Amino acid sequence: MINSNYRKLNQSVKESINGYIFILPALLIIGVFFINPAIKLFSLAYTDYNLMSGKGSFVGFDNFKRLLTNEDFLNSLSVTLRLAIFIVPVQTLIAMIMAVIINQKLKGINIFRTIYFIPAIVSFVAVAITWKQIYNPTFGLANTILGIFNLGPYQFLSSKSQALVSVAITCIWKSWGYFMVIFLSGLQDIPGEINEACKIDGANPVQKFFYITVPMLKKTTLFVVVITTMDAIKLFIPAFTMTGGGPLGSTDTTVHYIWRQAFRLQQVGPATAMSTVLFVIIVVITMIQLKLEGKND
Amino acid sequence: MNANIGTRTKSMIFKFLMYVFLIFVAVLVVIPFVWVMSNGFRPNAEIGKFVDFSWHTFFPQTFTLINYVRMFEQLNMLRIITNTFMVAFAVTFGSLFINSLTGYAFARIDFKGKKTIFIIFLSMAVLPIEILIISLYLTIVDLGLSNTYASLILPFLASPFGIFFMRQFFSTVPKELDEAAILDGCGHYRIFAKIYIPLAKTSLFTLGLLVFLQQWDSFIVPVTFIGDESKMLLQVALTRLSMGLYMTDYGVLYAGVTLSIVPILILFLIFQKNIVENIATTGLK
Repeated sequence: MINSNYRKLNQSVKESINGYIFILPALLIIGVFFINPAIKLFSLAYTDYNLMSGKGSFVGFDNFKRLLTNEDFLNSLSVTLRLAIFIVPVQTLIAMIMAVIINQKLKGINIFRTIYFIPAIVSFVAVAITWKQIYNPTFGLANTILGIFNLGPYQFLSSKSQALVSVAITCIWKSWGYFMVIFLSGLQDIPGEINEACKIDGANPVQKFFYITVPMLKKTTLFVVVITTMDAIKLFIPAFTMTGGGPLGSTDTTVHYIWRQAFRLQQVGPATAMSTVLFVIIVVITMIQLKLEGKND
Repeated sequence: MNANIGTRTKSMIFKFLMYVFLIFVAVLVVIPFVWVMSNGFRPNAEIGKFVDFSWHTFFPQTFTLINYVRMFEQLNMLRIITNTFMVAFAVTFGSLFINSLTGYAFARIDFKGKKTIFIIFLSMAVLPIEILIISLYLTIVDLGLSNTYASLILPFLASPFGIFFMRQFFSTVPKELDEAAILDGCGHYRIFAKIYIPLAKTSLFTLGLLVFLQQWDSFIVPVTFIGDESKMLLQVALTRLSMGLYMTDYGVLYAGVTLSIVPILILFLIFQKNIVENIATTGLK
């Protein structure tokens, strides 16, 4: 009896050791490159650490207090917010409508699905550079095409009032196909009987879209909106590659601003405080998402 | 009879308009690439020459490969592409191994603290690289890894998504399979290597494809960690090119953008079913 209990215990210890051996590499990687920097991030935010000198001392909440009056940081938050407000609804709507269109049984429709997905697969840097050239005021494609309709020439990225919208259009152009595919899988989950019932009741396509499709896609839409919002918050490449944050900070996204503070101006202390603020925003959005998802189920 | 013909013409017109619209959107999607790629085959003197819309907007007057020649001669492009492929492959294969090992443990081995560790791992997903980049850079410096390929590879050898993805797959494998193997005296190592890995071929391939694409696109990490030009990756090199640190040589820039798009486009056209369908089902990059 004692022997068999001992054997069982021995067996479970052995099993545990096996488990730890299997997860050891991941434990090391996640410990060293995720958890350790995360702790570092939240502790550096309370120091005046400088990248150049590699030194810093504890300054309490000073970094956070200063953020409240740091106009450039507040501007970068506003730029990010405005980008999100523009991109999220427009892109989600385009993706949803195009998913409904692509979901029809037409010959060769898969070719279009493939083509629409191409920008999503190409690197963001290549897309950003391409669009920077398209927006070139003197020889860009955008002014050439608008010229056919006697419009322009526009300044696009070199204009303080047009730059942000131009960047947003590039982001939407890059990503709508990706989210179309996600909506497409949401549409394919709608039971066939509902579509049949619609046909019998003689609902027209517009009615069907608003009364059947949109409500049935609620869960997918929530998911898409959250992911798109997160993507907007994390925008870095368009600011870095297309505009450098300009003109006059009009496209200076938060991540880009923070990155410059840390790696161009060596101000790690304040930059990590800003990252902490951004992290809190992300956590709040994640919590809202989890709550809404719970409600839907 | 008449009404029938009426609805038929109506649906024909509807179909026709649908195709017109679908083609219009396809043109909007494709035209920026066509324009940039065609510019890559123009001599520099011709770039910016055709400002008004004409067929020369998309077709070079003089077709030349000089930009590609210059790109490889002046930029050490071969080195840059080799670097990019090397790092992407290292991360892909390394992370496939580690993530599947970990996924297997979470799906099939009972060990103390399993649930807690799993939750801690997954919760790391709320920390995007954009937030972590500063302190990760300091970690890299502390480890003496700044300006090394290792700094681009090591941090990405395990990922919350990859672990979750593999665990989900391994959980669907019927337990009877390994019970039989245990009776035969197989340990976890053999069950993992001989039963689970072969079964997971499709999942591994999909995850590998996603990781590879992600690495190919990766930008904020290499631009931060690598200062040494000989170790530069493609996306960073393109950005430098476009910002004119090498003087904006538009012809070379367009050729470079083309070079970054084409391999991925080919990969996508070959494996589009895997890529598109898996994005549709997992909904994750």
